[in-house]
Amino acid sequence: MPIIKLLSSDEEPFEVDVDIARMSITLRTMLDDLGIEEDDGEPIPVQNVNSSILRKVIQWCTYHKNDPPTPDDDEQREKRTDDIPSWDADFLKVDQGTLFEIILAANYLDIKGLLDVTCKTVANMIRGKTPEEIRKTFNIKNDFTPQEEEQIRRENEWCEEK
Amino acid sequence: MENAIAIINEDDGKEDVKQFVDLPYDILIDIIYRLPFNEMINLSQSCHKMCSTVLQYIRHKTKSFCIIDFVEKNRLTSIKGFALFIKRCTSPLPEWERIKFLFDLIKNSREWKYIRQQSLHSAICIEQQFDSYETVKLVYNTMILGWPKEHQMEAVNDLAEYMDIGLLTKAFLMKPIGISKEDEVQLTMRVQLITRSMIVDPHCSLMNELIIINEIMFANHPDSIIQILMLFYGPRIICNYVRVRLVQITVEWRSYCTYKLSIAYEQLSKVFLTLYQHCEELNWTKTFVLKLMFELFHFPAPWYATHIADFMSNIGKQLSIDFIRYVIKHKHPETSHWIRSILSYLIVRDPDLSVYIIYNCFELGRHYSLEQLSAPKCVYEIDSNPYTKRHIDDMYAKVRKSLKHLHLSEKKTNYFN
Repeated sequence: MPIIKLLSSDEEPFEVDVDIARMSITLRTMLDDLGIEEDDGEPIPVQNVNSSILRKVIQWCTYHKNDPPTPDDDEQREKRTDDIPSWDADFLKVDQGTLFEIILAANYLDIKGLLDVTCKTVANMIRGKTPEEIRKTFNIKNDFTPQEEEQIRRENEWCEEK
Repeated sequence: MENAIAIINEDDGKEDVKQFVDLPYDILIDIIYRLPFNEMINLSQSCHKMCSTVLQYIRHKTKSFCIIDFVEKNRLTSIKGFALFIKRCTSPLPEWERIKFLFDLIKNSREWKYIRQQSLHSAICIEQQFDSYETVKLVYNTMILGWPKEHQMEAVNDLAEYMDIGLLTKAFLMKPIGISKEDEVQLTMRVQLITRSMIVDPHCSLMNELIIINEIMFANHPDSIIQILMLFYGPRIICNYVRVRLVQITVEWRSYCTYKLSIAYEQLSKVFLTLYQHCEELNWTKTFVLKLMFELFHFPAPWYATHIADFMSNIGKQLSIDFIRYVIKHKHPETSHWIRSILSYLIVRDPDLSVYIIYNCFELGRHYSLEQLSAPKCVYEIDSNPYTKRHIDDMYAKVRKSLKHLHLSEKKTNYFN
């Protein structure tokens, strides 16, 4: 199995199977453009992703390397969020900062499957919560004035669950 | 996930920790996409950024299905709330996009009738917060432009149920911005269809019909208006229209609203002129139109001669002459009085026309002598504007001058000597 080297933003090198690296569209394009098929000594820099997150990303890709490809078309993507595989659920039991870093890395590296499962995880964290609980969960500062808050609440009353 | 949240909370306050609100827009949208509509709304209530992001997502044209889904599943009862929400959701959009959004919402609904009704009502509720011009444009553009033909009548009925009928008619007559000539033709057709559907609707009362007609007349689209009147309204409606207009004219005259009054005369005279010119298409005789005019001058009370004179100066020479001849021929008890009065005013208002009428009607008809017409009794008094014999003599002097100008024979001008 050909191997390539990836270099995290904090300059830690990672040896990865080419097939696993190619699960990232960003890396795949880079490898194709540069004509790299295996390790030629020069590590490929993965800017914006630090070593701890890159490690997690590689771990996820390694586990899912045999998964069927995720459909490209956004509209075709499944909207449900209750189908997160148990391995992924355990894998994503991390602190919020890490979870968001993984999302950003998945977005940057363009790994649809990982982005999908992380977004579902965040969506699940929002589900069933009141606005106040959402603020608490995500450490969101309430920047509405009391008047604005009241107005928005009133305007949204129509869609509150009865 | 509860465990994960517990861990997360322990990390609050840690430096450089990525926060949910700091995630890029695309990712936030990806998360929002996975939420049911009401959960999206809860998220939108957490802070300004989430509010704008959620609304931005919702108003995206391909995403508005989430609203439809929600509305359909939950059988909304608070239409006003829905309307307010839609208003807030779409308020950053330019007007045209806001209209498109509503239209897409209606069009894309799977359960077409229900969502359409909600959206229509919503549009109308939104309207109440705009000025009337906005209202008309929004309703027109949302409800008419591009509306599938097979649902047109149904939509009109829905609209008629919810909406002020005058406003509705205005909306139907509204010219959309920047449409081509072909579209205008299409618009006229639609207006005709819609108007007809209202007229034949048994729930549409006579008063509504009259209001519609009145609104049509005020909408400043004379060509379409007359077309509609001619094609779809029978004599009854036209008479009713004119009667309503006469009541208005009387009221407006009394309130000295001269500007409106002159508009009303102009419209009314246009209607009659058009009816007269197209009476064959209507299967009416010319006499019927003249009779209609004659009858209308007696409703609700006989017109002041000055009004008739104003009216006649707008209907053109031929119709004026035919009308005077009709009046002479049918010898109404008031005819002599009428003609004297009308001519008295017409001589001032439009000397050429008065001369033309006198020459044509009295020279050919000889039903009345000029002595009768110029007798001192022809003084017709209007409270604020009495005419004296001297005044009338002055007017006849003008007529003589006009006749001279027209190089009429001495024999003909003798009538005035």
